[in-house]
Amino acid sequence: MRAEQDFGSRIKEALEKECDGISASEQLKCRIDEMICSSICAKSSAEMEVKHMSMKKIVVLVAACLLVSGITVVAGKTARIGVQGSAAPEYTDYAELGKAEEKLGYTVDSVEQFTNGYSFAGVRINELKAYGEENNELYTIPAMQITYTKDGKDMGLYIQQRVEEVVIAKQPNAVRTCGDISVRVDEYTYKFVPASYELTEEDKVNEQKDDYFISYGSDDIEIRKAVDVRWEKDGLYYELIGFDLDMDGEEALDMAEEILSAD
Amino acid sequence: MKEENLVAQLKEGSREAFDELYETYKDMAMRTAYLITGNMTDSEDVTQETFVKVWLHIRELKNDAGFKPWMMQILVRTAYRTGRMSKREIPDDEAAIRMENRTDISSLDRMIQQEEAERISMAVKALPVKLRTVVVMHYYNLLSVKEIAQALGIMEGTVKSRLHTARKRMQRMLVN
Repeated sequence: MRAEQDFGSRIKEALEKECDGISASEQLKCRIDEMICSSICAKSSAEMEVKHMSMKKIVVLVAACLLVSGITVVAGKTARIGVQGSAAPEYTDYAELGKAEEKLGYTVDSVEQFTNGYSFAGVRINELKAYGEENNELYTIPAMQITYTKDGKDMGLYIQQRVEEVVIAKQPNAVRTCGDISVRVDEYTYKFVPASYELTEEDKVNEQKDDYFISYGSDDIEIRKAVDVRWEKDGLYYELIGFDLDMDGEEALDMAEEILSAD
Repeated sequence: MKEENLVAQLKEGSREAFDELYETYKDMAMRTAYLITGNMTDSEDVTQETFVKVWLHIRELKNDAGFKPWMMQILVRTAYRTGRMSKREIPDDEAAIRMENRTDISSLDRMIQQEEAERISMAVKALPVKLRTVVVMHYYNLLSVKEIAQALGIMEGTVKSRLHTARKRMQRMLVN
């Protein structure tokens, strides 16, 4: 034990000698400051962009950003995702889904009507732009957004190609295996706040939870509950999400299973 | 000011808090990056990227008291990713600059100590990067086994095993 401690001390001393004379230069601090300044500018500009969005558009943005938010870790270089496109559907007839698939460049799994009553309301193609940590643009891909509706409540089915691996840090609320595909469901709370909103003590406590998020950019303060189902099939990421639904995770998993079983 | 308070302020976007934390850890970060990557150019890049990530992601740090191991986690992962780990040579001009900054070695004792330190340093450098990293984090950064495990995302038992293996290999190298 003593010999081990002595050896440890000798290693420590040797490493300290090895590093003797190494220090961070003034230029290094300048470079770091420049990068931080540019990130602040980019953040302000992004906040301004979403400031006047409707709640519907912000929900679309949140759904897309789930891919790279604190919930997930993309095993690549992406730091954030931007969404271009309105929330309004391009096609409202399910028979026209093929036209949307043509624009997308590939076919997808979907249903016209779910057994729980949610039915197709429209489809549109958005453009997702991935940005790196220095706000540099990494790639742009098309993504499909299908809206289903029932009694005034909407659910969005978002489909995009797998470009980077997405690892979700949070433990799922439930998981179901459909054939060889694993489907997970998560429940989250979102507090939508204006860009200038200052966090309360309660917000700060809530923000520490892995299922609670504060999203800046809305006109008013709103707290909404999200049910989010995800799976991956044939190199495509599928995400079915809805806010403030009268639905538990099991029902959401049933809907995913119906999509997976669709011909 | 206590580090926890600085971290709390940094989460609120305070540049002053960032600068204070930078001053505290800048040299440690540079030196750790150097010990892992083996060259000054990579060390500067790794340190720069680490502190920018600290600024961008500080709100993801759940425990304000755990800033150092969290920052070390970012630093080590960034160092791994530089992809230039195989370049172990130190350019002559870098070595010369560093020697200029060292205290002069005049006595025989200092020379012997220096020689032994250099042999141990060589043994550390010869370790595979995973073993070298735990040695640097434990003996240079003085992180506990638990903190290293958290920073690297591995089991405490794995850290102990890597430290044990590293020590044994180094002892064998020094004997030979």
